[in-house]
Amino acid sequence: MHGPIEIPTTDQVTVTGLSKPAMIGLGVGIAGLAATAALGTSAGDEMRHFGHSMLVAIVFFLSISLGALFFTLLQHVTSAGWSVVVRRVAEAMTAAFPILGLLVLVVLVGPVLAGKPWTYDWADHDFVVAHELIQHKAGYLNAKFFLIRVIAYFAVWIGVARFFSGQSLAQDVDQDKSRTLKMQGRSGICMIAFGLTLTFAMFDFMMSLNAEWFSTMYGVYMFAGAFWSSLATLALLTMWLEKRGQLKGVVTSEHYHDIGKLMFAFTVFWSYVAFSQFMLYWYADIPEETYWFNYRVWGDWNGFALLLLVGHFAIPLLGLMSRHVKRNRSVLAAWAVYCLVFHFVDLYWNVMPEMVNGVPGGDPATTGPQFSLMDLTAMIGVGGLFAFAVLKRIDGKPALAIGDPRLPESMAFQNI
Amino acid sequence: MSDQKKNDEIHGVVAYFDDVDSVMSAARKVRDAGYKKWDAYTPFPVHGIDEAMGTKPTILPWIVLGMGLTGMACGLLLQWYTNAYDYVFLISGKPNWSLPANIPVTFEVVILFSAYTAFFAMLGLNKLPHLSNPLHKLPKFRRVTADRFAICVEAKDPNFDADRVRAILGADTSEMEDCPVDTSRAALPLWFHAVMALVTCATFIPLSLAVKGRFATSEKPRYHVWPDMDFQRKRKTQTGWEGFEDGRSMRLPVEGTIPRGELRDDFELYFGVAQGSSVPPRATYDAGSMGGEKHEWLQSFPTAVVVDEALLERGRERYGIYCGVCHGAQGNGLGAVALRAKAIDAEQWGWVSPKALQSDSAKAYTNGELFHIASHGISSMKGYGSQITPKDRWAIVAFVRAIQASQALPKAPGDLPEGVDFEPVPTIKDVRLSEASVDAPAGGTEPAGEAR
Amino acid sequence: MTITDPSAFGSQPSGEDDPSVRPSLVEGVNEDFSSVTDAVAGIAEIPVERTNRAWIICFAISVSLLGMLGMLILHLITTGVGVWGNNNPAYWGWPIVNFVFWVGIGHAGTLISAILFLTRQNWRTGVNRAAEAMTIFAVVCAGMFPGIHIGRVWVAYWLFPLPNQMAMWPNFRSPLLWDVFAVSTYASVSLLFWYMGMVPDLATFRDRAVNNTRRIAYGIFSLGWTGSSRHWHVYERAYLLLAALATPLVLSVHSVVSFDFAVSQLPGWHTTIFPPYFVAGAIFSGFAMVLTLMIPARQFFGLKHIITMRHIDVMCRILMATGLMVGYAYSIEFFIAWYGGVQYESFAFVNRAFGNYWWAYWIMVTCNVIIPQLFWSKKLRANLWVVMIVSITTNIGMWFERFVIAVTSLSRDFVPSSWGYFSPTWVDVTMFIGSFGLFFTLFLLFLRFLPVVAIAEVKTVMPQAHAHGEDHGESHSAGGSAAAPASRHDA
Repeated sequence: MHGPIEIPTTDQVTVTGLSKPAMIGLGVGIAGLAATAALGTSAGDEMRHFGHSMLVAIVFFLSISLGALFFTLLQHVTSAGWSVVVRRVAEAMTAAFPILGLLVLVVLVGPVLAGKPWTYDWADHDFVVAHELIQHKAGYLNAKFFLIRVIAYFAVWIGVARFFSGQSLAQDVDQDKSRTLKMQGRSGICMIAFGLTLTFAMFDFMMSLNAEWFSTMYGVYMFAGAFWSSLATLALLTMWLEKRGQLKGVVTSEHYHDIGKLMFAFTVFWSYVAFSQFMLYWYADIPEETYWFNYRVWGDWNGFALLLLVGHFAIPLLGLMSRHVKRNRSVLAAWAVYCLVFHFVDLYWNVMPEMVNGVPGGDPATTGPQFSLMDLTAMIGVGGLFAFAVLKRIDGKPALAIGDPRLPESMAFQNI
Repeated sequence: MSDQKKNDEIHGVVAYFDDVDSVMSAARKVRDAGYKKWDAYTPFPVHGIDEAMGTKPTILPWIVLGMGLTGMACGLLLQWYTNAYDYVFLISGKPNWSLPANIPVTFEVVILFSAYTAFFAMLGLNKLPHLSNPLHKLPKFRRVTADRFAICVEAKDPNFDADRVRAILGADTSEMEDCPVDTSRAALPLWFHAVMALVTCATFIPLSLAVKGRFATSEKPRYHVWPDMDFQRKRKTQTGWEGFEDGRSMRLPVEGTIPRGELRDDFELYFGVAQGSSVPPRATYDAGSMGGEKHEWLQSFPTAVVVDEALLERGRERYGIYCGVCHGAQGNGLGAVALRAKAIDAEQWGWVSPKALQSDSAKAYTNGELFHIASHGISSMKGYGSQITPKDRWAIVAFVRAIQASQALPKAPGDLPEGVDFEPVPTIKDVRLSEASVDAPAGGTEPAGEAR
Repeated sequence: MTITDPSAFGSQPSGEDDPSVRPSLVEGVNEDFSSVTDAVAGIAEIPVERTNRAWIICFAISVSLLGMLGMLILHLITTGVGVWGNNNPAYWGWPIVNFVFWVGIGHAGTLISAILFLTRQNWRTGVNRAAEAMTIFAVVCAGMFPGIHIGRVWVAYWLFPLPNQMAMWPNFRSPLLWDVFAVSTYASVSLLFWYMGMVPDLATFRDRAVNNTRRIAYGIFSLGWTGSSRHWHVYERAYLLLAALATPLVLSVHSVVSFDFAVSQLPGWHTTIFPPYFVAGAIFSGFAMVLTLMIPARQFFGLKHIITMRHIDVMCRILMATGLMVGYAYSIEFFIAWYGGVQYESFAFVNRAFGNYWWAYWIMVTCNVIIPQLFWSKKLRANLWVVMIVSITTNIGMWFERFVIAVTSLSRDFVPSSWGYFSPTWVDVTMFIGSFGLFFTLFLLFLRFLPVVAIAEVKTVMPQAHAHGEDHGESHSAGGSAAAPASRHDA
């Protein structure tokens, strides 16, 4: 039904001419961050909005990288064949960890070390003194340990990402099949490290925004959103590289179909996790737990909650159901962009109510969303740096794991 | 003509194939020859044969989607109807119509509807079960479910021509035969039909019994399939038992037994009469039988009750709870109930207006009588002894006395003591009732003011 | 015929050293469609008098246990639920533990059938039928326990929204009612899924039948299936849809079971990780049970070339992965119990590990988290004795997990005066053993009389199943991984 498969040569798939877009990304990123910082300092709210907008942007792109790392690990741990053609793209998406780590250190950890509640209320000594429950957690939520943990998370992520993309790139040259087995062998333990670091990183970055609230499911919830948005980015980036010619004839609608299926599956999974977390707290109705949802779902953030219900669940559920949607590149691209938008909405709804929560007299239930230009500039800024890191990684290297022994299998792959 | 005749006798032409390639190749040829009533038979779903046969995509997914949405509507409707409409009851403070709690069941109903639809619509679209197929009569055809492939072009096809079909199939086939029309009857033995008929009839028995039970009446007691604790080895109250000498199943209390907490040796406190006096009957106060010298009513308060500010405060609180609704917060007889009774002219049904407690007749009662009235009632007022403890009743008596004393102050403003701003409360005779005054909370000074 | 098949316990699985070559799913050089059919149908066609002796012994034991279960249920109904150890404060004792245990086991079947079907894990074809059967029988065992736990079993119909003379309706805000819907939906949809997959194989049996009884029996249940390609077309689509529907259903069932616990305010129960944690645990225990059953079955029924060492290897890896997920949930629960700062919650967890029931907790941790780590070693995954022992300890561990959750939390109430210690009675213990009798009786009957392996599906993953007009190389059937392809080219 299709012709014999020709493995492309290294030259055909090598990406060139990305240094200029990468530098543009860097420029945009720095400009965006500068604008955010300027807006933040002039806002006169002791950098609260700046800190929270930046957190949304950082976690947005961090979750894309984390999802890509998970994708890479998943393919190795299951010795999957179909995904070889897109795995290099996923590997490239993990290149942003160092730059994101730097941002986290400067924007999130820095203020905490200085005792300033830009983002985290528990960084403020007086706040902790006033809250007995948070004193209980001081052994965990303190500046030094926070710094150590952040360094540990990024060390793990950067290390794992470098190992897998490094092995894969080396395989392009020497075609050594044993590298595949080596990666497969290490993927299991890396998966465990990934699971634990992601969970605790999300507890630290996101859950500790409201240091009194807790949920055992929160790590899973964040993971679901991360993988969802990461698949969307993977689809978009692959299409872009296909359009530029590097993956032309290699990636087929079969592969998009599979990515689309995973997107659909994680639409359902995210909804399942989000609903379970909400329903269990809503039902038991224990004040210490429900208040977090109370001002997110019933206060002025009610619109956002409904938007998530419809936009993050119902619409993509119906939209991504059909196989024709998943196999059509431009339609799938539109859905990928849609998914990214709603991942942002999800994070915004998680983070921003806490902006006024720690402030004396602040009540998120009556304040509601306070949009600012900073929300946008932070996304542009971090996004620019993310693009810079990813493009820089792809540039000059094959966009395809050309030495992978399962490449022919992946290229011939057909959905049943 | 001979072909036409032959077509009536055969079901179709069946060709057998040994591998996937030949059956696919033959299928393409039959498809291209334009036949409609034909099919390829394979032991497993062959990848790509749909295209080779030109099979159109099935509408099954749409049926399933439709039934899934129906399931959602049914699930939600069921939960709304049962818990929020037809049988409303409060559970753990949740709203009657609580969507988050209804999602799991709604989801399950969606799956239930969709899955059953997928299965039964598959059967329907394939026209299964179809137990008597002429192809099953061919011994060679039986290998098709194991390791062989076949194509059958049916004689019903308008373009059917046995020779042409044989020519088309002949290129790839390893073996070919005609499938005769199935003329034999009952493929299943007779006993099977008999058993099935019996079983079918038997399945109606429970249903008919249920229908009978629903519509028939009977004078016999319910038949207890499960005893449900209805019969227990014990004696019920107020029945007899030969095991005791007196033949009763219950024992009488020992002579002189006093129920716990019911010892009432302080006559002053419990009955409002002097110690040693005759105890008044536990009955509504009746001036004829109780007034005068029959009982030695207490003039002051029992020694067990200390009259102080705390007691008056307690009395005011209790009075507000139990008495004020009729007698009014200030004792003028203008409580909410009294006002309402007047508004609807309840006297025509024998209503007696609550007494204004400042009235001279009320003042004339001794403390003991007031206590008895509070305990056992007077005229149409019922007693409150069962609701208010004796000490609280005395507190109310003290408060009533306080009301009476305050209303007895001189009426002219100049005669009042320094710093007291006093105006007597209205009595029921001063009130001209309007709808507004009836609905207003009575007893306070505001409604009284409005009423005037 | 079984050249690459290790014939004895403890030998290596077929090598997988070259990642570019996928091992074939059905082992043996001369395997063709008829030999696969013969291998599977042959089991059901053995004349009664020549039945495998091991089968007869197992069946005799199972039926005896089933009879014992029947007597116990009669004893329970005629005497009352007081015959169990359930009492203040632990009102949920063994019956609920057994219910969750069996429902959990019932998850692997539909998981193998549905999720692995959707992710094109073609290796599933060797084991999916048996796993589905296991699911249904496990759900039957599971459904029995809440059924008899309600006390007055004759009013069990009150669980369903049926109009009645009391003019009352069940409470849809109660997770216990969600359970009724989830478990009954799951049971019936699994049954449909299992039966539907079996229809073509029953037709095979019908066409091979040597006597009328078999022909009629298999003939009726195969619904007149002919193998028509037009039928296959609709059938495959329906099967895909059922798989797509069964996947969220599997997740929902154990999630709903977890809601029974998690919506309450009881420390140790009320935690948000419960739904995915229960699902992971269910898959974990389900795969353990599949291994426990399939290893002897392939040994005794000559299915070693269809249920290969590769199947066992993959299942061991899934077992380990889900075991790690369960371990993740244990640790996150502990962390949040401290982090949350709720003293009741912290107490509940410390009490689990170091309180009265420390032994149950550490059995659970050892069996579920520590022992499965043996499977990091490829050598141990290939040793059937090790696999068998680990799968059994996993089942034990998962039973104790449910025991720990249900009993430790209940026995330590908010009010210390009502604290207690749960002790099972002889009825509890024997009834649990009896439920194995029910399970194995059904399972052994299935092994003996029904197609144990999905014959038609196995054929689709054989190299001969693909037309050579396409690009399918010889000896490369589909591989097993997150998304294995159906075809492969030699580079």
